[in-house]
Amino acid sequence: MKRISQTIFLLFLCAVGYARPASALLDNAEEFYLQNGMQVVVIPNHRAPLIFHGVMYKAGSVNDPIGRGGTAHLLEHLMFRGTQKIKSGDFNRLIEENGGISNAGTSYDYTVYYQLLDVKSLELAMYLEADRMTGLKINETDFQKERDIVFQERQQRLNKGRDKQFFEKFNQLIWRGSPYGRSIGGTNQEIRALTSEDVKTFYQNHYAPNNAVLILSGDIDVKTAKELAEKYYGHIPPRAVETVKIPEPESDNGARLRLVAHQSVDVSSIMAYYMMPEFAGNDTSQYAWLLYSDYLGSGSNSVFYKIFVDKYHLTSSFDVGYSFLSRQGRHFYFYGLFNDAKVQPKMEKAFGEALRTAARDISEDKLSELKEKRIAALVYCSDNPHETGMFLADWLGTGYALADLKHFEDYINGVDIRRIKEIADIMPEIEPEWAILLPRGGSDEK
Amino acid sequence: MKNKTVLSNSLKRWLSFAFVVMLVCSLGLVLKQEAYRFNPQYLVENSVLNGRDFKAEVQQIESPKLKIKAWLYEDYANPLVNISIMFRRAGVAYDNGKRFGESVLLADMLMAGAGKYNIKAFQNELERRAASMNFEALKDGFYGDLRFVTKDRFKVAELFNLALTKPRFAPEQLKVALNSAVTSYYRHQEDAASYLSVAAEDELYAGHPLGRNVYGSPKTLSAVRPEHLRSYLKKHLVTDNLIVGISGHISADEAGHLLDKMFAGVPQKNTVAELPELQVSFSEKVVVFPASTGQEIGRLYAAAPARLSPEFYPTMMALELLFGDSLDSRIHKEAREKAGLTYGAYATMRFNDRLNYITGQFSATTDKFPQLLFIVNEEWQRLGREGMTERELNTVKKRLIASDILRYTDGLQLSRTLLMMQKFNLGVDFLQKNSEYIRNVNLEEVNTAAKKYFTEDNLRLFILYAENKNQGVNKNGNDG
Repeated sequence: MKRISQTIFLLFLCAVGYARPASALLDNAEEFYLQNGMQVVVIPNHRAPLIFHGVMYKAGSVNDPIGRGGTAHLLEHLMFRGTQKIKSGDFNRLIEENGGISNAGTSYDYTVYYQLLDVKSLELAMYLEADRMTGLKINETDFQKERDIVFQERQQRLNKGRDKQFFEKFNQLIWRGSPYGRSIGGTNQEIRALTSEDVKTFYQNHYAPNNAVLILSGDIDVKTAKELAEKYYGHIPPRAVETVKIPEPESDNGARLRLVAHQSVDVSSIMAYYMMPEFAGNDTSQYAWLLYSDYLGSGSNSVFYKIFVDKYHLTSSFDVGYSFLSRQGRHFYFYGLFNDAKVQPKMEKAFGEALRTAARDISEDKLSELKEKRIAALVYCSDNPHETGMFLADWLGTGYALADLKHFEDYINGVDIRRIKEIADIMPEIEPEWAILLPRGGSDEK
Repeated sequence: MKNKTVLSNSLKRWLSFAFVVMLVCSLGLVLKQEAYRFNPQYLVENSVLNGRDFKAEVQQIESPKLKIKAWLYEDYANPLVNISIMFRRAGVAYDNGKRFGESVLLADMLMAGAGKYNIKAFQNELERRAASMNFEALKDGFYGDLRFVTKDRFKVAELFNLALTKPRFAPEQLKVALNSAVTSYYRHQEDAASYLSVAAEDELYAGHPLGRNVYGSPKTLSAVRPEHLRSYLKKHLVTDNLIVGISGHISADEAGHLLDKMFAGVPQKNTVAELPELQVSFSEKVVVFPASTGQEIGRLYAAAPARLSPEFYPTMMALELLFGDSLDSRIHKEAREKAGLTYGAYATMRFNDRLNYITGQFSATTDKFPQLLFIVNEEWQRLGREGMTERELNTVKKRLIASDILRYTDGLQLSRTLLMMQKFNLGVDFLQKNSEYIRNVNLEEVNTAAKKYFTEDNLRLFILYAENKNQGVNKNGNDG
């Protein structure tokens, strides 16, 4: 039950930050639906007889009831604790014995359970996964043990980096009551208050074949995938699934947040953040935003590199981009590390200058270059079946369609320069919200 | 006359028939249960996907002109090529003591402009093709990875060659690289696990160059000048010290020609001396480093057999049983299942230019750590005292053999594996043979190795100790 951050890192690598989204090889990807509404996505990859088998439920931490943060995540843990047929711990034991990796991850919008193993063990994995879709059994002792484990893991995670709690707090404040501001695993109080009823209710409300996607990425052909999907998942009856409207962030009458903290750190951090929840699922403007964020921060030819590194020598450790793989939690961010706390005001000034420079310098040539890069990167994501599977879970779990992925190249090519100019012109006018972490004794004066 | 209850013959026949029918039905029910009873082995053995024939062929190739050697795994699943290179006798242990970390800066600066390309042009050539090239200096090796689409291989080879033979090493770029390296150093000081690892190895190696950390140090990094980088390049990154692993969409012929392009003009001769001799003691007392942290971490070090020693596989089995990432591992059973602890723990064997050793790490929150430490210590010694059972050995073997296929998940992982195979002289048939080697290990060998290596005197521990407990949570354990 590894940390969500590990999953996110993989996705990050594959999706946004490393300029490696979809793949031309996804031309071979196919999808179909079982009678019970379960979506199945198959991406063949015949390097070696291994496969990624995943079931993604379209429910994540944003579906936790108010005050019950951590439900989805705790359920994820408990899914390994046994069903009517399978004893607690046997799921992983059986996969391990057969040389596979078994894990799961809870995100804001979805939860994915997956195995990476020799293709000959796929049927075993499918049997087990299908079994726990309906047969989960939660006994009170196990529940309490697992809740304690989740609690301990949170402590470990928070203690890993001195800035973790600070940025968690910032995220909470900035989202103004929206569940995207909550920590995925819940706070300490929330975790300790969770009951087995909470978890069982979530399971009943969300874990059904018609609310799930089966992902098969690796050494399999579509025909066999169809047969096996039908054989192991076809008999599970569909169920009514809870659809609750995710609360929007509360209005703030234009107040802009500025969170500053001093801590015993050697390196300072700064983050500028823009919430953008209003971009709905099928709006193709996210492709324009993607290119815009590449333009700002991807590589040494990017605008931010020119300003922060070349011009002002402030830092070369930064990241800027548009996080679009989210149903209602999309945001735009800039994150930078810097050694000398005293240059913090310069970091903020440079940020503004970078945005204005971007608006001024965007050109057709530049846009062509950006498109070329994004499209060239298409080839990577379906190389590693594990990465492909996790990426598909993220893509589909945040409301996008496989067809969107297949047409990614077209969407990118179709981005009009006027749209980029619109975005580039607007960004310097919007005030971001800031999080600044400085060493003790450091100054935060403007 | 008494009345006798006599079953008529027809009734007898009927009853016998009924009895037989009942028997048959019961048998049928039992068999039906069998078919629906969960049988994992059956599911695997009878899977329609079983019986895939898979042969991993590795070729030894040599480039036609320069005679550069490489190991190649041809793989046409995707149009990508992965090349992993390594220069021996390079890395921070081989840096000048006053400037250690110079190889770290070199790794950065090789990407900062070469030949006719300044840094932007150079990186743009790669980025627009979504090709990647990066270098990394570790303790006793200087590594490089290249990933690209096969049709771009000539351009990538040209860029690589320029980086190695005509790097610009512009002073303003060196400043940027220095800043970045110093930031990285401080960030790693803040990370509890990195901090401990650096402090522990500093103690363990007691002044030997292998004890240097891979981030350099702000003082020694700032002493590096472009001329130092130039001489380092000429001296250490020579083809005598080179190992290459290639996997992907490329033939032996194409790979050979590519190597000649990549290494044209790169000096050949090695003049780097071996590292000084090293004596490490693994039976010293526990060393504790206080820090402000909410979790406590332990690092362990122990002597291990050489990679090609007959004790290697037996020791690997023992280590797997103890620390393996499995529900059956001894540590997991004691710490997680019995004591209900949440923890992280792993250990592995490592081999550097002067030392064969086991190293690992385990961590838990401050209140649970003493218990975890006790378990680690106790289980380590118990393994040495009691050894393992045949059953345990078979479980470990089965898992290791079954998971072998996962090494083919990623193309770059494969090219790195080919690198390691050469570095440790594992043989070109290693990928096919590894499972066999594992299968051939017998219980006696394992327990002999366990007795030798898993002892109190062969376990050196370093602890990161929380100075202020409950860091990050207030008194009630609430946090927000």
